[in-house]
Amino acid sequence: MRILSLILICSLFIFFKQQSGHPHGKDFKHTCSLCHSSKGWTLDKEIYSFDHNATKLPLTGQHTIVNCRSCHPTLIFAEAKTECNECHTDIHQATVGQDCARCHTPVSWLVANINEIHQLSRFPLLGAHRTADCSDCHISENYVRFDVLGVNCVDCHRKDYDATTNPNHSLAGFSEDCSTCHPVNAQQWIGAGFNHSFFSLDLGHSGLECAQCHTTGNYADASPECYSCHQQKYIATTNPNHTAMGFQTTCDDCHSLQPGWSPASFTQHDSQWFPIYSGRHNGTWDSCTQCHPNSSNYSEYTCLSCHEHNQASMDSRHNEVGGYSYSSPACLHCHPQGVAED
Amino acid sequence: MKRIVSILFILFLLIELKGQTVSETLIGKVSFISSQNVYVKFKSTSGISAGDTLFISAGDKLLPVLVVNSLSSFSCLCRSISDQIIPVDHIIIARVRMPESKSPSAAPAAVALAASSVKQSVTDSVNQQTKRIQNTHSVQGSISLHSYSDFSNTGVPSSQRFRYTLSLKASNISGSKFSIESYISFRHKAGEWQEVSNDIFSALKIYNLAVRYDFNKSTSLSIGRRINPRISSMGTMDGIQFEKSINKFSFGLLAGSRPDYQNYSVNFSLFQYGAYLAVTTGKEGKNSESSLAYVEQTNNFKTDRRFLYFQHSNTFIKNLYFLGTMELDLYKLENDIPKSTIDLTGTYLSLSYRLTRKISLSGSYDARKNVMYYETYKTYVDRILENELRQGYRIYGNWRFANNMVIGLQSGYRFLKSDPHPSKNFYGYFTYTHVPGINMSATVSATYLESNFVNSKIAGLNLLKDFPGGKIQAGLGYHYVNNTLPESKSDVIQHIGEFNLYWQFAGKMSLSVNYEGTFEAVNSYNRIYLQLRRRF
Repeated sequence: MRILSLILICSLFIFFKQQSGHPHGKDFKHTCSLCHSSKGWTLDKEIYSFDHNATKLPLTGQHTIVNCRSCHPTLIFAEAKTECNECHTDIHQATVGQDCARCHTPVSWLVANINEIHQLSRFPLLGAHRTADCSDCHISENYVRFDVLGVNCVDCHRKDYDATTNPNHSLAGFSEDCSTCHPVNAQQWIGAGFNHSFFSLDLGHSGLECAQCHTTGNYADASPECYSCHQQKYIATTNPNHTAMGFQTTCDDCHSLQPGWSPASFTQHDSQWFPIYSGRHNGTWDSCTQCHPNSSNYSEYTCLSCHEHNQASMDSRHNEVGGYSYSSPACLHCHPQGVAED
Repeated sequence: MKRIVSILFILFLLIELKGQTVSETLIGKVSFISSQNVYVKFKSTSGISAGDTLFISAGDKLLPVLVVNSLSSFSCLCRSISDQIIPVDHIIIARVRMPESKSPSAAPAAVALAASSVKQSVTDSVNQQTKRIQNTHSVQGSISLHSYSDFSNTGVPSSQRFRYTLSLKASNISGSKFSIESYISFRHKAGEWQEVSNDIFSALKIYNLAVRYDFNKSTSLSIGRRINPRISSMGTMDGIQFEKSINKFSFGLLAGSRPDYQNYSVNFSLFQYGAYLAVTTGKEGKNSESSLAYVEQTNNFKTDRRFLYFQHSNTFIKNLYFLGTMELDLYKLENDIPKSTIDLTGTYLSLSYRLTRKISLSGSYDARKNVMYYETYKTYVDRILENELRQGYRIYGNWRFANNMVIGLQSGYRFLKSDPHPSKNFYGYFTYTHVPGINMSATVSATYLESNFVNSKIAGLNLLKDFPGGKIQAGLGYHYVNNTLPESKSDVIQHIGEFNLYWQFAGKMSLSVNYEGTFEAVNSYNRIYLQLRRRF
């Protein structure tokens, strides 16, 4: 009886295959027993052993629990679509392309890799952008259309720019590239988030109120030149008297940003007049007034105020030098580099 | 007994195998003659095989003149076996044996009759089953709850957002010709319920809610809100959509309104109408679909936008999938004067090719402008100005060079005219799918990117484990990110940790948990996403 059953089943299969065409298409090469048993031609879930992972579309995540018919509307399994967009209607209105896998996985439609998506876009998320809601930037009536956005700051922050009052950016003619002052990774528009690196606010310039430098409503007016803010200091100096001495108004020729204007250095003294930052006299003086006793006239100087240069000693050492005189201009004339061998 | 059964069986097979084919004549024409070959074109070469003899008619006789060397689905390449000169367009006859499809064998044997009866029964069974698959009542869908939490130590208030969705597709309800499809979401933020109370449509978004009536297998009418997959770039539409298919051609008509441009509710003043023609060809994996649509959109019956949409996909070449879409705007308003124009709004081209079982290559090109609605955006001057073309391409490839090892490379480029400079990225990874000992998949990746305000170098490690039974999947990841801000010439180092879990339980329930923590020198950001979904 068992043999008879076997023969009949085989016969049925041959008839079916030869005469009515294969129900699963002519290229279907899998054996019936993967899905069917002698119970009938309906799917026998007890013996079902077809390996879907060997197909073009391995089943993972939600695809493992959807109804087979969702993807296989007919028995010709080869007709099933394998590209996402062939089964899943694009609700993004073609604004993000057709490659669903860039954002979604079969596990869920949750877009968990927002950070990664943005890293591969035109605008990686940093700072406050990281905590922003998607719809803050991607404005649409349905939350799923992602129109082309400009990545220049004002493309999103135009209202912020226009609303500024202190300073009034628009009035001041500030650049619309906010990132020149407000780093893209900042959390807020002011304070630590503000990038003043075009003019360092370190050391003596730290802790200032904006208005101390920006005295007009137009913040672009503020000059980066020292003298524009420090004119009064310049005029008020007495030791040395900068005005009387005709010093340059470029304070940073001599001064650093250290608070209190000191220490100041005047290294051009070496090249223009007399080496005091190099050579024998380097480190032998403490203040300008040691050589320039008249703080109002630095063209006056003395080489004779140091004990090494006492007249008895100098006269003795120059007794064979013709035209010798014990005077500072004579010293400089013969020893412009400040060494005896000159 | 066994012997009798065996004899019956053999007899049964012989009779059936004999009776399963019939002789048939196919008529073709000589389409081209070369020095070596003769090409004959048939409506279909089904039944003809290489080596078959082809004939010409000579009175009431058939003269053998050609032998088939090779053939395609509608053409044969033949060599001449006769001195007869056969000109182009000469009628050629093929005698083929076709499978009998209608009546059972005429053999009178009782066994054959019984067999044909069984055969018919099987055929009917399959046909009925196929018919059932296409027309039986079925309800599929899912409901899901999503929670999106963002919190940080930066002083920015935490954000908690919820989203609930219903996806439903009920086909041939109670065996009728009516079907329903819907995709609806409700989205709100914690603490912002007042906004929802003021305008329910700020939270309720209906993407699909339509009833379809199938007059027959080839004719259908949908009423309600529906995204037409043949013009998906247009988005959803409220109204009626009619489609009729004749063989491989389909055409459709649509009329109704587009959703309100502020809250996605119904707005009948945004009337629109259009038509499309689609062609579907091929079978069993070698398909092609093309559609061309024309749509006119209005605002208070003034033309808002007029466009053509073309979409084509095919799998003609084995292992290759091509998809292309193109959207052309045909209308513009210049100084309040309507004009006809041809303006490319969007192009998308993608090509995927599986070179071998181990190597696959893909590429896509994407160019898109924001869609202009001249009447709707009349008061949005800045919107009208935002009409630049954003272009981008992406190429990527994977190579499974050993059983458990895959490497992949990807490069992307994106540019908008107003961008300070193009954004570029390069990404590479190596995956070991079964790390010995822990039986996990490990992926090491490296990314270099240049964008408008930051350049980054990223190194990452991701581990993924599928637990036995396939119901639980868990992953861990770490990324080291070195961001350089060119403007301030400063570096921002980030350590990003992530964890994700997918758990399928109680049949069709599933839970997804995703955590991502980003840690900088001072600031840290955390994101927790949850999804609970029930399919039915």
